Amino acid sequence: MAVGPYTSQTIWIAEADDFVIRQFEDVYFVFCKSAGTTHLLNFLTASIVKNAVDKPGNMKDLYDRVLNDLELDAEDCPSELFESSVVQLDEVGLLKPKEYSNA
Amino acid sequence: MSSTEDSKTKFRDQRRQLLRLGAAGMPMVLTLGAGASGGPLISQLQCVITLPGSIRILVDDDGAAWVGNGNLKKKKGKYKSKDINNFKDNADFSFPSSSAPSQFRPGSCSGDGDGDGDGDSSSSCYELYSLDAYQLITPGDYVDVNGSWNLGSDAASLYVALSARQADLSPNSSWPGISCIVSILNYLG
Repeated sequence: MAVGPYTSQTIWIAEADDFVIRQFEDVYFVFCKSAGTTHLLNFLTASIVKNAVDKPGNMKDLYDRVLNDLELDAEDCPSELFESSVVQLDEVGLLKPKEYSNA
Repeated sequence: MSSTEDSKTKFRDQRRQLLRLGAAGMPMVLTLGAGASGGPLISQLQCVITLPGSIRILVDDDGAAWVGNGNLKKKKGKYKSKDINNFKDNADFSFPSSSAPSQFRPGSCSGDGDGDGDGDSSSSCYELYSLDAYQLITPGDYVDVNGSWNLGSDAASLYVALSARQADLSPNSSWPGISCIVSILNYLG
């Protein structure tokens, strides 16, 4: 369950100033300065955070960009897995919903 | 196909495998230093016991227990006394009465003479539990927020209960995971 409500139009952001990221092969250590916690991300969740840092977007937008970056298709990474990964990132504070739309 | 393409294909296959695990429910994010609830992690509760081999635990109706890897088969709901004695004789560890909590003891208990004509008596006064080799057990998972043990009735719970008993009886024994359980007991005080 996400920290707060979200819709398909919710814009997800990641605040790069709050993180220190170190990559070890295909594992990413992300230290969150404000919370004092360290998170281990795999290539998928790391790519979601990077994309949300570079350009915040809604679920579909981020999904398309991440799949493109990782050269994966929807069969490899179903949208349900992607959405659950976004929610997990939200729960640990690495992603935040920026705004909501009724559209 | 070149070796570079080979390794690229292998790399992508590994990633696809990880995504399949994710789709099956494996977390995609792990947090160190604080739980998802925001509470601090207690390092003493995080140790994990890896079983070095398959383990069988025989418990009698008084809560005595024997730990080994002998073969033991039930026949008509009962174990042969010969097999029971053999298991006990070859057990790596044994525990006195009242070691296994009541939920692990056999529900009913009766014994037969040599009624089936196979030259052996049999008894239903035992319950057998099995654990697989390399199974991971995190005793801290069985400690609730108040610092009390909260055991189920499965084999892993029994292993944790006997580990705590072993730590009382012989804290320097070769019981697999003894240092883990000792550190937890020290923490719980």
